[in-house]
Amino acid sequence: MTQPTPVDAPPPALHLERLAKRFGPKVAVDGLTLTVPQGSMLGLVGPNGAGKTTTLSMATGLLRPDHGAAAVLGHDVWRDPAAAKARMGVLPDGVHLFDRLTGAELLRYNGLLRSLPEEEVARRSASLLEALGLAGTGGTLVADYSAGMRKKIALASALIHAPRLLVLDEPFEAVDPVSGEAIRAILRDFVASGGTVVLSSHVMELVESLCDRVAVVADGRLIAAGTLDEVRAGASLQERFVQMVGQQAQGGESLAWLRTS
Amino acid sequence: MAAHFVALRFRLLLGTLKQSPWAIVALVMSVLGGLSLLGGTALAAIAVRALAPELGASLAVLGGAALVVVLTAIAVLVGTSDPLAPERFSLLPLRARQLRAGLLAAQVLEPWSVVAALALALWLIVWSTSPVALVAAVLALPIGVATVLLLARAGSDLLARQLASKRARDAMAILLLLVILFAAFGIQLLANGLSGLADLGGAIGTAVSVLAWTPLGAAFDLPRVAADGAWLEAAAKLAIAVATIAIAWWGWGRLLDERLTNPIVLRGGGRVREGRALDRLLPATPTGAIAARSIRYRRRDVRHLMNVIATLMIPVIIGGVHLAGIVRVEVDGDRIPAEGLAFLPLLMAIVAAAIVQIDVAYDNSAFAWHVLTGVRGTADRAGRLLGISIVYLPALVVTAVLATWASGRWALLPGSVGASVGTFLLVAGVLLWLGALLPGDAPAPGANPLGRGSSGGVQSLAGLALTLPVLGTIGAPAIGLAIASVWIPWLGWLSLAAGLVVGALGAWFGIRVGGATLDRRGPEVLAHVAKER
Repeated sequence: MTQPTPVDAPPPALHLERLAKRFGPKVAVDGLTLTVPQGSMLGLVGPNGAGKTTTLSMATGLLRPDHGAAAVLGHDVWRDPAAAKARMGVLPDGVHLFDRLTGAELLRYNGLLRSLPEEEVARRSASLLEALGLAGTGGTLVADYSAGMRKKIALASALIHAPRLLVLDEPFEAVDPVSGEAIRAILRDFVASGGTVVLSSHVMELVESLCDRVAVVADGRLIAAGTLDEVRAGASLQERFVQMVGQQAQGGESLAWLRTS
Repeated sequence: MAAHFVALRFRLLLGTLKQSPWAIVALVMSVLGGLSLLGGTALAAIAVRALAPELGASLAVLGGAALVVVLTAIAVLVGTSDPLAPERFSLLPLRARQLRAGLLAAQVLEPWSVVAALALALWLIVWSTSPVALVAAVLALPIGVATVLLLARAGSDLLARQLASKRARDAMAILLLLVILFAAFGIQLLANGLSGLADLGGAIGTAVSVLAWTPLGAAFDLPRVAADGAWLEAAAKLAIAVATIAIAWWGWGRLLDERLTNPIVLRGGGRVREGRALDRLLPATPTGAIAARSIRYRRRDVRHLMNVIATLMIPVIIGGVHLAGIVRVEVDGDRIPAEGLAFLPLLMAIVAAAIVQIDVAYDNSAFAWHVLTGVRGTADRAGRLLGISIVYLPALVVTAVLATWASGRWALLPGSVGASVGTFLLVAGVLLWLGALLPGDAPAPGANPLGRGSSGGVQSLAGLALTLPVLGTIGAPAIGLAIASVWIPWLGWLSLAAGLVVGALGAWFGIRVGGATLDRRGPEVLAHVAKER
C-alpha cells in the first residue's frame, strides 16, 4: 500500500485507498481514495445515495470492501482489525442499539466489550451521561428514548474508550440545539487535544462552522477534498456543493402548477 | 380504489421476494403449509361425511366459530407490523369508507383469508347428505366467509388501541403463545377423548346449540336448520348472521375513521430496575458483559422471554398430561412407563439449545456494536453460552429432580441430569459454530414476536439437520447410558460423567471453532442479520 506521506511523518488518522463496493448491479463506492491527517475535523458531504454511509461502513470494519484498503493511524482495518478498532470510535447511522438496556447499562456494555477496567467505565459513563444531558434517565430503556437521545447515547458509546479517531455518521440528526452545541464543544475540544473527527452531514452551514477539511462525494467517487477554503474557493460551501453535484436544483419552472396564485 | 390497494399489497409482496431468495423459499413453505391445512380439512370433511354424518352440523358451527377466533388472533398478531396499517393512509385525502373497501379487498387476498375461505368451501362435502342442505350451504357460504373475515378484522382493530402499550402487547403475545402450546396438546387430549364419544357428543351438542345462536356461530348453522325445515329458526339465524356482518362492517368503518384522525401510537414500556447484582456476579470482561446482557434480554425482550416460557412449559405440559393419566402414550401397544418422565429434561435441553443458532439474528443490526468494538469471536460465543447456561442449566437440574421424583425412581436422577446437561451444552456448542455460518432469521426488535421469522427462517432447518446426527453420535453415550440406567441403575453415574465430558467438548468447540469462524465472518453475519425483511 502506498502511503502519500513521508516515512518519518505521523501516519494519517484515516487513509482510504481505492475503496470499492458493488451491490448487485449498482456500484455504491467506486475506487474512493481519501486521506485525513491527524488533528483535523473533516466533513464528508454528498447528495443522497452518494455512498457516504457505505464508505464509512467499509472504513470502520462493518462492511467488507470488494477492493481497496482502509487504515486507521497506520493499522489496516481489514488485516489488523483489533488494532484499528481499538483506536477508533464510531457512531453508525441506521443501526439498532441494544435498546433493552438502560443508557448506563449500554455504556457499561460498550466499555466492557472494549476491555476497559470496570471503575474506569463507571467513571467515564457517569461523566458522559452528564455532559450529554442524559443524567436523569436512569431506569429508562434506550428503546423508550427519543431519536435525539438515542443519537446521544450512541455517541457516548463511541466515546467511552477515548479513541483517537472518531467516525460519526450524521451525528447531529434529530439532536436538539442545546445538545447539538454540547456535542460541538466536545468535538472541538477533542480535535484541539490532537484527536481526529470524520463526520458526515447534509447541513453545509454546520460543516462550514465546525470542520477545517471537507470531502465531497458523489456517485461513489471523491470529487473534491482539501481544506475548507480550498474546496469552497471563495464561495459558500452550499454554492460550491450545488455547482459540483447539482444539476436538478435549477429554479421551479417545471413546477409552475404548484404556484398557488 | 380497491384495485389500488390490492395492487399495493402484491407489490409489497413482490418487493420482499426480490430482496432475498430465502423469502421465496419461505413463501413456498407457507403455501405448502396452507395446502396441508386444506388437505387436512378435506380429509376430515370426507371422514365425517362417510363415518359420522350426524356430527357434520355441530363441527361446522364449532369450526366456523374457531376460525373467527383464530383469524382474529392472527390479525392481532400481524397488526403491529401491518404494511397496510390505516395510519399510513392518514395523510392522504381518503375517507374511511374508501379505505374500508380497499383494505377489505386487500385482506380477502391475504393467504390466511384464502385458506379460511377454501376451508369453509371444503366443508360443503359434509352437507352433501341432502340436496336442501347442500343448496342452503352453498347460499350460506358467502355469508360465512364474510362473517369470518369481517369479524376478525373488526375484532382485531377494536383490540389494536388497547394493545398500543408495549406491556399489553408483550402480555398478549405471551398469552397467545400459551394458548397455542395448550392447544397443541389439547388436540391430542381431544383425539384420545374421542373414545368416550357419548359424553363428548352430549357436551358438544349443548355448546353448539348455544353457539349457533351467537354471532360467532349463526351463519354456520344455516344449512342444518334449512335441511331440518325449521324455517322460522332459519330466518332468525339468518337475521343474526346478516346483522353481525352489518354491525361489523359499520363498526369497522367507525374504527378506521378514528384511526385516520387519532392514530394509534405504539407506546413504550415502563421503567426497569438496573440490576447491579448481575453485574457483580459476572466478571467485568467482554464475556461477562455479553452474558449479563444475554440474561437481561431473556427478561426484558418479549421475543426472548417467549422462548424461555415455551421451553419451561414443555415439561409442565407433557409431564402434567402424562401424570394426570389422560393421555396414554403407547409405543407398539405398550404404555410408556413412568420412567419416561425422567427424560423430560432431555427434551427441554434440545429445545432450549436449538435457539442458540439464531441468537445473533435476534440482535439484528445491533450486532454492529460487537463488530465495531472488535470484541473477539471467542468472547462473543463464550458470553452467549454463559448467559443462556445461567438461565437454563438450573432449570434443567430442577426439572430433572422434579421429573425423577414424579417417576418414583430416584436412581434415574444422575442419568437424567447427565443426559440433559450434556446434550444442552453439546447442541448449544455445535449451534454456536453453525450460527456463525448460517445465522438464520428472527423477528426484528420491537416487532411482533410471533411474526415473520419467528420460526428461525429456512437456515434454522440446517440447524435441525445438524443437531440430529450430532445427538445420534457424539451425544449418544450420555443419552444411551441414561436410558440404560432404567434397567441397570449404576449406569446413570456413567451417563452423568459422559454428559459432563460431552458437554465440555461441545462448549469448547462452540467457543473456539465458533469464535474463530465469527472472527472471520463478522461483517458477513452482520450483513445477513441486519437485512430488512
